[in-house]
Amino acid sequence: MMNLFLLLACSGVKDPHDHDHDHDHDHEVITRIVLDFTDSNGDTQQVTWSDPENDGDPVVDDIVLLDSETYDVQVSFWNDMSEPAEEITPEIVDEADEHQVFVTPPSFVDVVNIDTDENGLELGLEQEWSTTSTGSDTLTLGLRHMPLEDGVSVKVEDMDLANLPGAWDVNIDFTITVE
Amino acid sequence: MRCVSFKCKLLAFTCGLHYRVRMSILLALVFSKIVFADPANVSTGDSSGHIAQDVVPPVLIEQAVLHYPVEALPSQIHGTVVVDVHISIDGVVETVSISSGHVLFHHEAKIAAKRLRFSPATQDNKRIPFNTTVSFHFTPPHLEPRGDEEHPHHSIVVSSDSLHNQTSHVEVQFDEATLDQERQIDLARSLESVAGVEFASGASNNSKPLIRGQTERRLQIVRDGISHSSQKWGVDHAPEIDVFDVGQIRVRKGAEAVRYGGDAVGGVILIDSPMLPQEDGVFGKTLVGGASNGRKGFSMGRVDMRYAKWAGRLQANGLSATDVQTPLYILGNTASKVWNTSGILQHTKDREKITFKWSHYQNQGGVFYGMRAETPADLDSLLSAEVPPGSESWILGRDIDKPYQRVDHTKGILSWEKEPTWGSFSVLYGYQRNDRVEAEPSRIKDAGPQYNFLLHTHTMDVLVDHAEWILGTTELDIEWGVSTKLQDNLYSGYTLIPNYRQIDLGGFMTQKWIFSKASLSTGVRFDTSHQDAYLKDADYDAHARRDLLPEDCLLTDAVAKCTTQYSGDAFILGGVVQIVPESLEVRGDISTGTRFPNVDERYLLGAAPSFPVYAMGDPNLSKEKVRSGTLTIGYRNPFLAAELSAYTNRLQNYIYFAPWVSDGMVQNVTMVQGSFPIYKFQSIDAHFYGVDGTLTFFEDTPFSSVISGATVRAWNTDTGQHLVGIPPDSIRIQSGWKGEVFTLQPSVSYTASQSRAPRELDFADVPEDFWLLNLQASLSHSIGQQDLVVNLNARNLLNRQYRRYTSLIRYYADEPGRDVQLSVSTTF
Repeated sequence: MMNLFLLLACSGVKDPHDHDHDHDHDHEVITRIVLDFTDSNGDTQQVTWSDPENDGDPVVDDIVLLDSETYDVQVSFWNDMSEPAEEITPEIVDEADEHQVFVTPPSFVDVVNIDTDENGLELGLEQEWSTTSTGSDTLTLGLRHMPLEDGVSVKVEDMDLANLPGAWDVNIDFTITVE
Repeated sequence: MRCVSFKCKLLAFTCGLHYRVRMSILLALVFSKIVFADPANVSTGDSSGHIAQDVVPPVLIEQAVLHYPVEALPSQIHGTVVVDVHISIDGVVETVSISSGHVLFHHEAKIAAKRLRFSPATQDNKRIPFNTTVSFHFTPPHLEPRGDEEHPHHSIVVSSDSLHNQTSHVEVQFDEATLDQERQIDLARSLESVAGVEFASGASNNSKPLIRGQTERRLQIVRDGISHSSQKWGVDHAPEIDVFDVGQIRVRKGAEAVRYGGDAVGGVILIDSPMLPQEDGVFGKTLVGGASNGRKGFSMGRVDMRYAKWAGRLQANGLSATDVQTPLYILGNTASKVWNTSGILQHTKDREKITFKWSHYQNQGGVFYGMRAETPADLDSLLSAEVPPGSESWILGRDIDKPYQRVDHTKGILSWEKEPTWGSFSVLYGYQRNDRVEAEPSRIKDAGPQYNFLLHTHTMDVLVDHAEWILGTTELDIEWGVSTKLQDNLYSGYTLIPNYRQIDLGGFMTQKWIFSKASLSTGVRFDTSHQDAYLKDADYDAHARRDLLPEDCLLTDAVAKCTTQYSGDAFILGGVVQIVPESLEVRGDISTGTRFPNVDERYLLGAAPSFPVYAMGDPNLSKEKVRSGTLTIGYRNPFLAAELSAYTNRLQNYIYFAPWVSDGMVQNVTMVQGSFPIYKFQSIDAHFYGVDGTLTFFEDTPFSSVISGATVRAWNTDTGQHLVGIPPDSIRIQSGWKGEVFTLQPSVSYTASQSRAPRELDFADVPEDFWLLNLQASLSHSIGQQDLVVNLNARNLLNRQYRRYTSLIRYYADEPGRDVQLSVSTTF
């Protein structure tokens, strides 16, 4: 009898070292947002918000721009939790009628979305930023996911930021300084 | 039937309504030539039934008190135990051994047999040793008042409940009938009527128990002899206990670290399956019911069988509920589905019993929509809103949306119990698999769960109980045991908790000296634990960046292995004194204990759907050292039964899971998934103390009243501040008719506001005090061989809007509103 107990106790023991619980891992999350700036002279700079472990402790670059300048800004989204890191931007383009990038800038920066979805509504992966004066403040950037309702896009022109349908895929803050 | 242990431990009165033990010694009459010296129908004889003509057999001259064992109360079984005894030439019973009878009665039968005194047997006028048999008949307590004994000539009114069975702590018991009447969706809510027991609910329709301010971390839940193992870190991770498959629950309030280890420094909840039938045949039970709030429907079926030495059980039950409703709004996405199955196969032979138990628990439930804040501004709005934003759009339904949690808990137990002549021992092997997934809304609609947990736990427990030694008028009980545990945690998903392996080994020994009106018990325990935590890349980086790693982690390819070893001890000295037999009793103890930090308390980092806060572990937590003292006074007269208990617990290095305060402000964090309040595991020195008790009026009459109340205070002795999360003062009054056929018992409970902890240490204002009106009623009827019981259980009858301080959902929403539940059970 005792032998049976010992056999049971020793059975089914696996080493937890480097073992993943066997579930599917289809859980994409945006852990990195990259802003590629190109000014009127063609000079470029890249600013990144990155939380690779998705643990709420991101590494965030400051945005530093010149006064009275216009920038073309390309926004891209990445998932660093998959290996290799996966760019999510193409999927957003594929589902452009369900997504829009919203930027809430400080008073000394104007932001305009350039690109549109198939319905001619703003998408926001390509933007134009214009600086109007110097200053330093917080800029919020978010990707809103607004699922179709009965197969129809819920996006409209000039959407009210306070009453958006759907949910944020990501919504983060940058510190921006215009010199 | 619910019983406060004091009732079980005071005497004949004590045994009044609930635990009045009507037991008799029916000493089987074997020889017609024996003349009894006692009206209790005592008879003796040898096992063959014949004696030599010139032998004068012994005559019983000193009766013993026989106690109906507490363990048998849920089953209410009758039974006769035949004991072989050897009587010395002095008339003393020198050896006893069980010849036949139900194993539950063996212990008490042996004790009683040893206490018998005889005039010696003689042959040719010379004293001779003599072997004979004695039969003890056990009858369960009845509900009618004392004096209604059906067999007064065969009965001995018990002068005290057994000191053998008493602990120095308060013990409250629930049997299956009570649980049917107070039917709740989970274990914790089923225990809320106990003074000093609260519950904490989280993001879904589940809750955890608290005893005297101590959470599940310090409460050991022991199911069928095996410590329940699950993901305890989750606020919403209710113990995976099938409440339909419970025959008895015993709640011990007080440090039980010596017997059950460091995780029981706050108490222990002992849960046993219903008894298997004692007679050959097929038996069973069905239960169906429904409830208004959540439109719950549930049903249960159980079939028990016994044939000769084999017995078995098959049981299944299910529950489905819609979203829960508060008085003002629906708690969106709190629908749930529960499915349980279990089985038992048992073989009994002579004094040996082998039992295999298997059970599977599955619970899938939505996680309340209203706890997810996407931005810091949203979080501020949620924490201050009287009505959760967006609640007007939540629709009642049974669909379970993201976020959700699903847990499967499978348990197998193989036990071997044997009763050799020197006592008894048992060996229990248990395996538990806790498979939990949690999913939150994600960019991809059909994405799988982002949090996947698998916890394997193997346990082996050996328990040895030596037969009592008689030392004059004193008895000595000795019990010792060894327990081992091997636990592997396998996790994948977002950063939250590492894989780990934990190996525990513990041993204890207790001894109890039993005098005529008192008992004195001591015990010691030693435990050791080896923990290996495996942090993968992302985990390691996240911990390292926050300086949350111990120094001695071993880095390999992609994993950091962090090893920690602990050892600790526990001690208890306690006793029971019956100052005025049948009226006044005092119990108390002093104890020490050690609890080791769990791996999750050290390395938890992140948030999960069922966890409405962002948790931060601390790898440098030290082991908790607990010093406790309790004092309980019980008093009883024909009109009043009272029990009052005071306690103090000092915890050095208390692991305090509370809002993280930095620079005088509570801290939030914003992740991609949203904004969360931060809770942190912190090591502090704490002092808990309090008083709880119960007054029962006219308990022995059908119209009785019960008043119970509890108060607990808890301080951070480092800062002198009250702790956050400690249950507020409460009082409950229940009064009504409790007959054999019909019961009607309304109750009122009052819970005060808990405002002692400074406001700046918490994320939201504390809830206001509240009154609740509840009602329980039942009707019993027999149809042939079937017993039919209809139970009505109405909660929050006045549909009061309130929040419960101990539940983290208080930050976001109210508690459920009125709920009227009706169930019908039949036994056959």
